[in-house]
Amino acid sequence: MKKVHLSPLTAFALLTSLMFSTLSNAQAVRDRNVIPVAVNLNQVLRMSIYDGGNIEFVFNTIDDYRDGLSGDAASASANDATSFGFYQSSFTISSSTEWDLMYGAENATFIGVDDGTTPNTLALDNVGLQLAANGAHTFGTGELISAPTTLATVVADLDVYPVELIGWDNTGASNAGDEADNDFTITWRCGTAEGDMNAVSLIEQTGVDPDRYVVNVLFELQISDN
Amino acid sequence: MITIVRLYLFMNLLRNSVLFVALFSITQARGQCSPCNDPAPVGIIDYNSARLSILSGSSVDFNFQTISDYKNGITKSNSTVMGISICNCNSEGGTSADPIAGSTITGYSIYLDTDDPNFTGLNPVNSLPLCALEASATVSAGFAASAVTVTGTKVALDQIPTAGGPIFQEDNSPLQIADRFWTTDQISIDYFMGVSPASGPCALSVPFIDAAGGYVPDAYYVTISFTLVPECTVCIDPNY
Repeated sequence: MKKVHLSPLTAFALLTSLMFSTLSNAQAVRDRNVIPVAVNLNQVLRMSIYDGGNIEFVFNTIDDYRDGLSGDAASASANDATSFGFYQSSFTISSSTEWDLMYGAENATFIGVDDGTTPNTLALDNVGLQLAANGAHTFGTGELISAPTTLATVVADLDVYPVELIGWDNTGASNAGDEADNDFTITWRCGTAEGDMNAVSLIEQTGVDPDRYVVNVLFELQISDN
Repeated sequence: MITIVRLYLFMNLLRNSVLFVALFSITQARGQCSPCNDPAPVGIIDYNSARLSILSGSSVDFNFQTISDYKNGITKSNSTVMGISICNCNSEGGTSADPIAGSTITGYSIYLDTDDPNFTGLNPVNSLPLCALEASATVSAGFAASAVTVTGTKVALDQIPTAGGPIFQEDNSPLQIADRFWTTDQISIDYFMGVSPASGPCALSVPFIDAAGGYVPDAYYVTISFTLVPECTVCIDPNY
C-alpha cells in the first residue's frame, strides 16, 4: 500500500480552505414557528313563527259561502279581507347552511269537532295559501324555490304533510342566512277557488255541514337535500 | 487508504506546535451569535442570527355557534404575540466587524403559511379553503427607529410560498436594520375567520353563510406557520 505524504504547509492550506468554505454559508437563517388552528362549525337551524300562529275562518253570510274569505286585499276573490294581518302567518328562518321547509296538514281532511260522534270532514283544498318573501332572499333568483306556489306566483291549495314549501334550488347563491334574509308571509284564504284550490265554492259543494273544522298545519325546517 | 492519509496528516500537524495552536484559535473564534443585548466577548467573531419566539397564543380556536358568527365571521384580536430577535454581529459593542461581506441584515419579513392544502374536518371528506383564515400583524412593543414597511395588512393563509406576501416586514435596505430582541420588540397577530370582505381569492367563500353550497358542520383543523426570513445583500431564500 502506497503512503501519501503531505507537507505541513499543504495540510494547513487544505484545512484553512475547508474552514472558509464553511464560513461562506454563515448567514442568519430563517426561523419558523407553528400554531395549530381549530374551527368548529356548529349547525344552526331555527324557525320562528312570529305572527299568525292560529288562523280561523268564520263563515256568517251567504256571501262568505259564495265568495270565500281571503286575507289578500288585492285578491281576485270577491270577499277579500279589509285587513291583511287577520289571515296571515309570518315566520323567519335562520340557518347556517342551505335549508328546506317542509309543510302540510297533519290530517288528510279538516275534521269537524262540534257536530256529533261521527266527525264531519272538509277537503283540504278549500284552503289556499299565497307565499311572499319579505327578506333579502327572493324567489326565482336561485336562492329560493317553491314548487307548490310556482315560485310564489300561484295560490296553492293546502297539502297533506310532507310537502316542500320552500327550498334551495342549488343553482345560485346559498339560502342560508338570518331573519333579515329569510322572512316570509303566508296569506291564507278559504273557499275562494283561486289558483290550485278547489274550483267549486263552498256553497256549491255537497256534504259540507255546518261545523267547526280544524286541522294542524305542520312546518319542519331541515338541511337542504338538493 | 483514506484513514491512513488522515492519520499521517494529523501526526505531521502535531509535530508543528505553531500550526496546531493557530488552527485551534481559528476554530474557537467561530461561535454562535450571542443575543443582541448580551455582547460577545472581545475578540470573538459571531454570526448573524434571526429568531421568532411565540410568547402567547400558541393555538387558536374558532367556534361558530350563532348565525351572527356565520354572517360576520369571527375576529380574534391580539390572539398571538411574538417576539422578534434580529442580531447583526458587527453591532455587538463594536467587538467585531461583519464577518462575511454582504451578510449584514438589512431587513426581514414574516410570512403566514402552512404545509396543509386546506382545513381538514374530523370527517376527512369535509374541508375548508385555507384562505378562509386571514391574519394581520401590528407592533405591540418596541421597534424603536422603526423601518416597518408592512403592518396591519390582512394576508390570507396559503401554502408556501404564500402569494399574499409578508404579514410583517422591516426593510432598511441598503443600510443595516436596527437589532431587535424578543423581550422588547414584539408584534401581535389578529386572526379573521370567515370575515368579509376577503383580501384574496376567498370572495366566494366568506362569509360562510353566503358561500355557495355551504360548509358542512364539522370540527376543522390546520397547522399554520409564521416564518421569519432575514434579508441581506447576499441572502436569497428560493422559497420566498
